[in-house]
Amino acid sequence: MKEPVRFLSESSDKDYAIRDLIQSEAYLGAMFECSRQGFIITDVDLTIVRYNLVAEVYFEKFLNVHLSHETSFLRMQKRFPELSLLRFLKNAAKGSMVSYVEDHQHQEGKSWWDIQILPIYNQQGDQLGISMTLQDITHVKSAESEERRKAVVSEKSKDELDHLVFSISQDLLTPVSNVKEIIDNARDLNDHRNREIQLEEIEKNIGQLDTYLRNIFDYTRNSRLEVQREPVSFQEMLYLVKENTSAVSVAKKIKFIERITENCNYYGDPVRIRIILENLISNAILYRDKHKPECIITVNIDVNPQKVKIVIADNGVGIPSKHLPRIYDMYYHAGENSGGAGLGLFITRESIKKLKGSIRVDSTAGTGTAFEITLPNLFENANASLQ
Amino acid sequence: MQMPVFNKILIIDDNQIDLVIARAVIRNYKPDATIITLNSAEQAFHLLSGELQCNMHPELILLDIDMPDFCGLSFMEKLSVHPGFNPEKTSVYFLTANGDDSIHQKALSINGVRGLLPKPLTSDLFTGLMKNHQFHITERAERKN
Repeated sequence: MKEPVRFLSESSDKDYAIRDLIQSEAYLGAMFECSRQGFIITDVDLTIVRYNLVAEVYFEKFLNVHLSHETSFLRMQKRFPELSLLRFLKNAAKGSMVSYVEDHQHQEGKSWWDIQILPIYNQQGDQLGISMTLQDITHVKSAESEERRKAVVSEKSKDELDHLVFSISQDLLTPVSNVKEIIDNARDLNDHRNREIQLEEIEKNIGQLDTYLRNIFDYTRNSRLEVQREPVSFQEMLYLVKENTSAVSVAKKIKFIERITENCNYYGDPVRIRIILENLISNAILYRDKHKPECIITVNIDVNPQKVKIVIADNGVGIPSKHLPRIYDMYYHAGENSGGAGLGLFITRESIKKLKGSIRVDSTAGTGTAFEITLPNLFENANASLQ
Repeated sequence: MQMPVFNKILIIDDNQIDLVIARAVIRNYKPDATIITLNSAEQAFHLLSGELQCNMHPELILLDIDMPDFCGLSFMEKLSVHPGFNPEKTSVYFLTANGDDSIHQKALSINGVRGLLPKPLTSDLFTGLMKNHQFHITERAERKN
């Protein structure tokens, strides 16, 4: 009775083993097929034994070759005599391994592939064939090149930053040491007759310092902040801008003539528009012509649903034509007696750039200067977002 | 009752805050109107005489009385004799913070002046102005009938 039982048990063990084998073969096959990497296995004669979908797509797409079982890479030699892949495969058939990255240009752009070709050996050390893996590494590559681009940009901005910090510290130091000197003198001399002049000097230097700091603040704000979209009242804007510069304009008796024409609301970035107007108006005040009986600043603003045109004109000293091309450069001074930090117009242009607007200057030395700014009205977007 | 169509409105005031307020109040009721604000009566007259010649008259003018250099009264005196000025087409209202009655009487006596509004302009004042204006129009129409 024992024998048949043992026989039965042996037989079912074998069945189980075969079933397990089939099952694990199915698992492996599924992994092989579903992998995001391309796989090709050939025998030592470079005839394909097995390949998966990614490999099939790769050959179709880049070499226009339709893979099938029994495809021989050796026979492909005639069609692609120059293809390095075939050379690597032949070397691998002799036991060498190779790994390289190649790039392909195609309709959707450029893609990068990491390719590995390895000989396959059995446990006895006999070569059975070759395995080839193909991996799409485009996302890694593009991340790398983005990284490299960022590194270059940050290197450039580091240089700019060094330059900026150097210049700013110079600009800040000058008025501070002036004020220190005036105070020292005031103590030493104890001369009350000069008090008024000394105070005026201190005020002038502090005023300069104030302007520098505002400029720097505006500059960093412009480069960091996103463009806002809010309704802007230019009447209010001009009021605020003049408030900020009023100490000077009241004292110097400057006449403002303002006209604002609007046939709809204006939507835009109030912070940047204030920076722009403040810089242009304080320039118009700073470079007034003291020899003229009346200093006049004319502001004309025209708002329509597409854009706003702002013209700020003065009857000031004007800008000599040789300086005009460079007035927007950082730290550019148009004249010896230019009192600014050389940042105002630079920041103005940067802000206008950020708002996708334009600026134009028209100036005649001795007659005056007119700046014309055009900025898009984001009014249409307002209606679109409401719908 | 249909509200008057003020498509083109001129506000003249040397006080920036009053301009900000007047513009905001009017814009609220007239989102599509052309609003022109000026802080100088002299420039306003210059602009206006050019536009009157081209028959591009504003339908409403709000005018401050107290302004340096060129005050609202002299502006209106000059405008009222301008050949292009037609008080039927252009309504003029004075805006004033001034309590002087004699000045008010003088202001109201100028040809073409419809009324006097205290500053600052408010929503109630502006809707009142529009109703009053409507009243004038219907009154005129009735008289014609």
